[in-house]
Amino acid sequence: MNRCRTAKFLQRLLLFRSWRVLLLRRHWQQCPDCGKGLAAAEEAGKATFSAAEIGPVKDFWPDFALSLEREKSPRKPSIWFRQRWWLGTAGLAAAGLALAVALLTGPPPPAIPDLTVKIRIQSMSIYDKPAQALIFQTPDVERTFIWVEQFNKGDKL
Amino acid sequence: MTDNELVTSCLQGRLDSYRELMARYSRYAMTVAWNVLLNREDAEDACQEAFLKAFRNLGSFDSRRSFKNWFYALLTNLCLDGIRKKKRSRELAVRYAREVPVEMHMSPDPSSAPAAFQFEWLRSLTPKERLALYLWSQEEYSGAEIAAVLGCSQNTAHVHLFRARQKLKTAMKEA
Repeated sequence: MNRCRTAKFLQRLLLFRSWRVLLLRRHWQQCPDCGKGLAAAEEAGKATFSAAEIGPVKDFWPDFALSLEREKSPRKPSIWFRQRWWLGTAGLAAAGLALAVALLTGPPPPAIPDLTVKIRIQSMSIYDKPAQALIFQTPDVERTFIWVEQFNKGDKL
Repeated sequence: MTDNELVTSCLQGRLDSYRELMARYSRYAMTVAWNVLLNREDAEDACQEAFLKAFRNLGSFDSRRSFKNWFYALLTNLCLDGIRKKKRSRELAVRYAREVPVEMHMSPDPSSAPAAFQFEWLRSLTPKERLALYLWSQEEYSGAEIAAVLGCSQNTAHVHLFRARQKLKTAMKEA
């Protein structure tokens, strides 16, 4: 059908649709090539589904409009979420305020007595030779060990 | 109004024009998708996505071209992508869940199936062959137009059509 020159000529050159359809139909009835093409198309048409065969078609508009709406407006947090946010902020502010008031108006903390023993070694010698001393402070405040050892040549004090 | 006038109007911000286009092509789009996917639900999903994608890409539409062919090409790509994804998920299902029986062929919705034999015949063709056959037999598309929709050369479109017809003849003889 597509190879028939007459059919191509009629399709391209005739201006009015009604004429074109009429003449093409007449040509197809007479032309053996076009007849074969038509028969093949008709046969293929039996296998494929036509628009009439597919039944009722879903209206795509509502879902389309919904998708567009979603794209336009970014997701707003829900009222509950927004309320929770406000509640959380208010709670934190109240706790901060309470802490500040407690710090400002509360009694001063008791002074901690200084119980540490201060030991300072000026110099140390063993048999008139300079020695080095190491002071060990134990966890027990009342006990302190002092380790004295002879100073060898090359050691650093 | 012509399709391209509606597109222009839509690009100027009139959403009703696109609604008109959707109303005009819903049934055709559904028929194309149905013939390619052989399943109503998948066809509806593909159409819905195609309308949204077409709307987003309306700015890139060349008004000298036919909107119908442009839209069909877009829809076809989505349908073929859908088939690829489905095939991949089936392969994964077969690989990792051998104990689960997996149906390896498209399952048409029997309640809305116009005729079971049509599904049998069409199943013997590839999706591109089915589409070429549909466009040629139902919408009277020429080879060049089929090529524009399939995004291939005219010769390839003719090959798809030729093979589809050959396979169909064989399937019809066997039936």
